[in-house]
Amino acid sequence: MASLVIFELKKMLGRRVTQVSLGVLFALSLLFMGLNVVQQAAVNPAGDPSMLSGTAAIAQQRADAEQCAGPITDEAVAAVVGEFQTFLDEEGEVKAPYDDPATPEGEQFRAWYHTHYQYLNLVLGPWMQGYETPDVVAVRVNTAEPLDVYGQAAAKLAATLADPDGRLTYTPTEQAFWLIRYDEVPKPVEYGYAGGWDDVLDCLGFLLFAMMAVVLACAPVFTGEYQQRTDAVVLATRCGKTKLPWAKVVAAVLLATAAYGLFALAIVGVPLVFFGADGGALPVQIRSLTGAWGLTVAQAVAVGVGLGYAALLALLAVTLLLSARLRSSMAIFAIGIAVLVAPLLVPSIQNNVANHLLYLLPYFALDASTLLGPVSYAAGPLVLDYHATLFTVYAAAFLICAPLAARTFAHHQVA
Amino acid sequence: MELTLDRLSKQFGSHIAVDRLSATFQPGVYGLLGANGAGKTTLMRMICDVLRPTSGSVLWNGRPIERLGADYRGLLGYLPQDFGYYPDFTALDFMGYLAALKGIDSRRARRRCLELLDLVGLRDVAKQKVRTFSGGMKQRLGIAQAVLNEPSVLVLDEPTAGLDPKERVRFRNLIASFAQDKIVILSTHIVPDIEYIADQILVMRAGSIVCRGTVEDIVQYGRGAVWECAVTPREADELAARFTAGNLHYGTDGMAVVRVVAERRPHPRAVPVEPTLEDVYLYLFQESSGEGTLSSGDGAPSRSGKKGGRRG
Repeated sequence: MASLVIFELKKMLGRRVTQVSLGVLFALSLLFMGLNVVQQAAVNPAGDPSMLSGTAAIAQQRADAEQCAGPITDEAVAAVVGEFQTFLDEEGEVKAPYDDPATPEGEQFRAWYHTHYQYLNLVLGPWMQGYETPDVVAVRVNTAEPLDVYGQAAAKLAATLADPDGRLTYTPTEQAFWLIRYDEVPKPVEYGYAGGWDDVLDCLGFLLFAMMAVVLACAPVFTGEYQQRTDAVVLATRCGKTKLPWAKVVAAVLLATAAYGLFALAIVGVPLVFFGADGGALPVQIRSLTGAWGLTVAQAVAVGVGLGYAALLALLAVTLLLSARLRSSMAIFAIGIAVLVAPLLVPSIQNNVANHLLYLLPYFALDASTLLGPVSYAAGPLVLDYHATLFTVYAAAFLICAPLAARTFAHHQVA
Repeated sequence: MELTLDRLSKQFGSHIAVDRLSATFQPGVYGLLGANGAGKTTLMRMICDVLRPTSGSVLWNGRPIERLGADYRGLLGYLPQDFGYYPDFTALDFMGYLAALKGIDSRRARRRCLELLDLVGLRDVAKQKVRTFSGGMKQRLGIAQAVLNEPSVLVLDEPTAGLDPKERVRFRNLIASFAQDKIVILSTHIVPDIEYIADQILVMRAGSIVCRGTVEDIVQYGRGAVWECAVTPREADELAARFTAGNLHYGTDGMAVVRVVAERRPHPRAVPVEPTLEDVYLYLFQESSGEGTLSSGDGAPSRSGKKGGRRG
């Protein structure tokens, strides 16, 4: 079996399409991850130059976050929002003399605002509606009275869950499920710098490149035998219908795993190297206080990469099944790539069923806002959260399609 | 050691490729002769367990091959028609891969692969990619892989197609050297390929074996039906139109010497000549002539002046 697996790997790696797809897509991943570092931007509180970029911007982001680091308590939020309000009038406009950047006061406000911008966005999130900015929201928050930041966040989450016009609609059981989940999130949330992990979460989608490469490399695994007319020779051998189909599946899984590992190393490694790996133990609520997942950012990255791997195996199994059934690699490429990139072309829709189906696709599984959002699947009293559902669906797809692919090849009729 | 085909049939839609074919094979070389589309390849695929029969069965020592599964395929060597290969594999890679598929121990496999590559004259190019090989070299590689596991049943489907005469002779000799104590089934529509090496010839037409015997038996069947005469070119054209014409050559005197397959004397100057296997093949597969043809479907040669027994 081992020697067959090695020969199958040799066959796959020997194909020009495998070499080109892996090489080009990996180079693209590195390029995008590099651009992600180079194109970072931050306001320079020192003023000259006014904007920082690249690693200097990353260093500034770190300094900004570290300046606000600490537990997000009601008192801490009241203090920072109260301080912000001192710069604003009743309408939320920056008042004189802070509105004139040429004055020392204007310079002071500019430095303060940009240093606290991310933090303000986060802590004012529970009061924000739609795409409101911190200055608009800050004037609505009454800091004279005690704040209940997490109560406000829970209320916003409850409103989202109860919204009948949202992208997803929730059964009462699901609503209760998510509110209990939110209650269980440790509070107060600890804020700090986790730029590397945060960036990885934003870049998880680039793992789709690994999936594309794997589809392109593995589409000919079975169909290549039909196209090259080697099926008659190999199927007429002792192991042709027994060990060979499984050797092909194992080789494909090994290749997919190695390719995914390489891509994941680049997509996780580059941000952690340039942004830093610190802050991994901070909770995912540093991205949104209404987040109901009890995960740290490092755990969220692990979940994302893990689910991406599960998605990859599911897609691989489907690719292998198509490869065993179809005679054309091009048709398999087309189907595989369509599964991966079609969500990019689908407009945002409000249909609950359609969104529940779309969210099963790898594109959404690797999108941090979906991955860490309140997504669940309910059947009567049973509620499965998004991660468990994805894992179940991907595992089922792999466990059904991979053996079916092997069986289809073993029963292939040379005619 | 006995391979039996028991009322074997294969139907593709409304087309019957193999029609209730029964035969028994014991060690020896069997030449399966038939025109393109006669059902030879379909039959061989069913023998090699890569195509499921519509009905009937293939039995190895009395047991159906689908029950024997891998054990039966372990006894097989198969060189399919249009033998496919992996362009990026070297000859040695390809042999090693097939050795692994045939369950040959890896240490023994390398030795055996090199031995066979040597035997088929590919030892010097063992590390060259198969895509650089000529048609003849690929076919030799094909025969080498087919005998890797020292098979009891060696099935060769059109193994000499596309080879030049020198390669064909070499190939025939190779097959003869591998054939001892094996059931070798060799299909072709090139008569000389099996004329020299086959112990038994099975003539296939429209999915059935219409004639079976040694070369001598089959040749006897054409006795009295093969004629030769020297005629004008115009008469030669007329003969070719009315009868099944074999070889034709022009003499220095401008006359055409034509070989004709016909039940009765085709021309007043025609003289009967000794038939060859090729003549009998033409006789059995004649399309245009209204003269002698074949009727029996039971494997026994028969001659008839009617077309009633003819299929396809």
